[in-house]
Amino acid sequence: MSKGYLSMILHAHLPYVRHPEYNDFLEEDWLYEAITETYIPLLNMFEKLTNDNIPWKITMTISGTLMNMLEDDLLKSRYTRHLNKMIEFTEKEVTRLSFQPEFLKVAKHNRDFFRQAKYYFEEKYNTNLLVGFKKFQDQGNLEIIPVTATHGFLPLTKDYEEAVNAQVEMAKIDYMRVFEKEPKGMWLAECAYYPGQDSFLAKHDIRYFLVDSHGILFGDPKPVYGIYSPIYTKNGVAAFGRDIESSEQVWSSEIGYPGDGLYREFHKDAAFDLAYDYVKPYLHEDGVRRNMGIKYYAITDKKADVKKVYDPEAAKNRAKDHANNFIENRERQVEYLSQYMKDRKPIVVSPYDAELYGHWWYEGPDFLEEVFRAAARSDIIGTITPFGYLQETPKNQVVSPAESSWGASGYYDVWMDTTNNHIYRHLHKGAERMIELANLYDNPNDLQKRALNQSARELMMAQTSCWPFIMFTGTMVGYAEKKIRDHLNRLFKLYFDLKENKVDEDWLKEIEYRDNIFPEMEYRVYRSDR
Amino acid sequence: MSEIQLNELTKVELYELARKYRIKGRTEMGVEDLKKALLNIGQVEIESELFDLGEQNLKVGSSGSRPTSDFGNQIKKEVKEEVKVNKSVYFDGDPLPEWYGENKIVLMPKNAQWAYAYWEITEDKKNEIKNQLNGEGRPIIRVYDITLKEFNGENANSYFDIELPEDVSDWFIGDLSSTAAYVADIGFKTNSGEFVIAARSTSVKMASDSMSTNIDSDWMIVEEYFKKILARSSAGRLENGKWIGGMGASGAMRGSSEEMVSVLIKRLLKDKRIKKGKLLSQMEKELGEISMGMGSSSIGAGSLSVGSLSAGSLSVGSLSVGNINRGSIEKNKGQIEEEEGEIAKKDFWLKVGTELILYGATEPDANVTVMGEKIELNSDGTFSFRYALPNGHYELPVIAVSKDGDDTRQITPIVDRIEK
Repeated sequence: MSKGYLSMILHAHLPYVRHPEYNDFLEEDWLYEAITETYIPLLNMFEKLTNDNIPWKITMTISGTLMNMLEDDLLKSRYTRHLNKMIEFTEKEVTRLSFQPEFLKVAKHNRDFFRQAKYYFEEKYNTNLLVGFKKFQDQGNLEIIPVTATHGFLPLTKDYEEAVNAQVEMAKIDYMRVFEKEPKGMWLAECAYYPGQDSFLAKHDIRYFLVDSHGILFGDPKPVYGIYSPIYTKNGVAAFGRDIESSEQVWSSEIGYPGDGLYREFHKDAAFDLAYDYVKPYLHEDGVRRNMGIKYYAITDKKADVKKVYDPEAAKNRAKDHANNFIENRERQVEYLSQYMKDRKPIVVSPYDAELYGHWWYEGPDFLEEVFRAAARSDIIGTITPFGYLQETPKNQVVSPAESSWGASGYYDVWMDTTNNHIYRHLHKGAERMIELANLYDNPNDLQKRALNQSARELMMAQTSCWPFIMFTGTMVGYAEKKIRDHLNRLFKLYFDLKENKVDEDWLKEIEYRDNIFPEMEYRVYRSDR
Repeated sequence: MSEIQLNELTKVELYELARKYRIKGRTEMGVEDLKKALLNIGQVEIESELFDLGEQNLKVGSSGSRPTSDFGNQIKKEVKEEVKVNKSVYFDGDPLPEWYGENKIVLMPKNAQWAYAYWEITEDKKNEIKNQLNGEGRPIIRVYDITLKEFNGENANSYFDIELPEDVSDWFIGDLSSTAAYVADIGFKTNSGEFVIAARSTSVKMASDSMSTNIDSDWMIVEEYFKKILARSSAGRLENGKWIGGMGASGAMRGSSEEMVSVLIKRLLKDKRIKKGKLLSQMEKELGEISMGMGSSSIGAGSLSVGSLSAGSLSVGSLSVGNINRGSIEKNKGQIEEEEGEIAKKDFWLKVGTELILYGATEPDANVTVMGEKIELNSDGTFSFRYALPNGHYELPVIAVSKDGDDTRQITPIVDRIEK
């Protein structure tokens, strides 16, 4: 019997970026890179653990925006196009590096990596990775929870409760469409919580959510077990707090594992080093050199200009060492805590952005796999999902969680900043008009209904928290501004067209085609009586 | 732009829109002409308007979604993709209305000490209030502390006023108390203290930045145990009972304040075009904003003017409001000076690589090996391979065997690559 639990939570999310109006759209690469480097390696890992009969419990979020992109035919075919180009390129690299054995080893590794991605994507999962995730959830090891529908940042929408409800309810509707079961928990975008928002979770039978450590620690009354046991809000929804110790070991760019010298250097991409005529066919149409995801060097020493050639095997072994170290540390943590928690086992909750594993930290999926193998060998620690823990330990203290997020500095500063504050008056107006529309139409005709549902899509797409985040970080700001403007302008046009009873069907059709998220969008989620 | 939308607007607002869309002859137009001209937007050619992001072209930027992805590479110049977008009925980057023609103030939480308010007051309302105050009156925000109150406009625990410049429509409000609740009014106040409200916000509860002192609980645990669990729970993030944050799960990889500052520095250092003095002054400018957040020299108690903050505008500045610690900033400045010397040295550089292209042709159905490896021929019998060529001696035997196996030809290029 274990003395306590580790609960690994991977938050998989990308904003909805899909532009049929362009043949070649730069930001769609975010999805392609994440599929190749993170989502497929994760599925691969689940499969290996299952085949080896290793007990593993992991929780994953899949946001509504990501889920709908993974299902989209246009993006799927563009991903295949991208993958074929990458395979062609990595094959050429294997020839080119014939005289350099060290590099050749990496070139072969890269080629096999993309070939494997193609095999998984096309043959194994028939271009729909969600089928894979659903399979592992149905087998009982993986717990998938939805995210507020389009990763909407709820605290900054607090004055529009219907819009908060809509983010929760639509997330649940779309989750059930794909996974054919009720979601147990929900990930609040950016772990951002404002008092009272748990009532919308309770209303839709969502049993738990996650907050950053201080969301629990600063809760009221004082949480007896700190973050090592969930608490219940007054509405009976459980909240789990992020464990800093374990997070920091993986996340921190200073002391974290991913900074190890043997691991692959993210920032040195072959696209910048190779002869231009040679790489050009594999760049975007504009021919600008950008990261291609083809890397030959190890981190070596962060300060060194000269980098060593990457050694995939050595890196893999290092990931195993780090996984063993990670579990040893969790064992010590749990042993310590269990002295003071007599009536229950402590739970250490470690949430991460899924894309950290594989995309940012190339060896991350190897590390994760070894974490589960090490946990399986341990008598002290086991792995569990939050819902699994609640079933085992249903009695918990009642605490009101504190206002918090997992962003820099812990509150709402990242999303409420001088770089992005200007968007909220428009987002709020959008919410207000959507709520007005939803309340206005009881029995819309077909065209009106389509316009209403599309209005809801436009609002939700504008609400994605990535847009203000991008403005905050100062990269790709133009694109983020454009997204908010386009979606709100489209919503406003629909609003006036509906009110003047002159919805332009051709126009609507084009917009439905472009902004096609949530096939089962139900505008009534915005009604005040919902 | 629909008629209903336009009918909501006053002449001043219509003119403002016309100016925005650069409608020619707008100064001569009356209300109806302005509406007509605005209605025609989208159908007629107007002066070029792209994304209206304060510049003519949309930067669709560099390589990835995260701040870390476009530095650290050997980017020799800023990567910039410029996409021209034509005016479209689907609103490609069109601006949003500047105002919506209503009287409203919204108060939003930012962190444990700061809140943000935006508002809108129609010209009619402004005039009405000015008349009421006999032409006197300056815009203020009145912030009420309504902690534990059912606020009715009269029963606040206390309030304070922030005097505003005439032309602002939002404000960051600082020096608020953690866990307290506030409501804000926007309105006009005379020198003698008379105040008329234009709009009132809903309430905002400020975040907690410390442990609760409330130990009521259905079940208890010995306080001594609790301290031990707490120490573990906060892993050094609690200082004098306050949350010092600093990481955030997303922190190390995307967007902790420390990381952001270091990303910025790296980006600046990578940009070889930024010369010595300029580099430091740019850093000063950007880091200067950070201290503005702390020092706050603006009007009104603890308030921070949005206008002034965004003037120099780089996201990092604002990150810090109240949170980044000065020590780390100064450390970063020191680093820059240190690394700056290196840059000067590295300003001029040269890299040379060599590659070898081996190509040829034979009968399309022949079997060909290059250095012992069987290769695929193109359909016309040609082949071409490209090899990186480091220093060394290379022999590249190419052997072709005819389909029937009767004929064999071998050619072996020999290459020596040296560097002096």
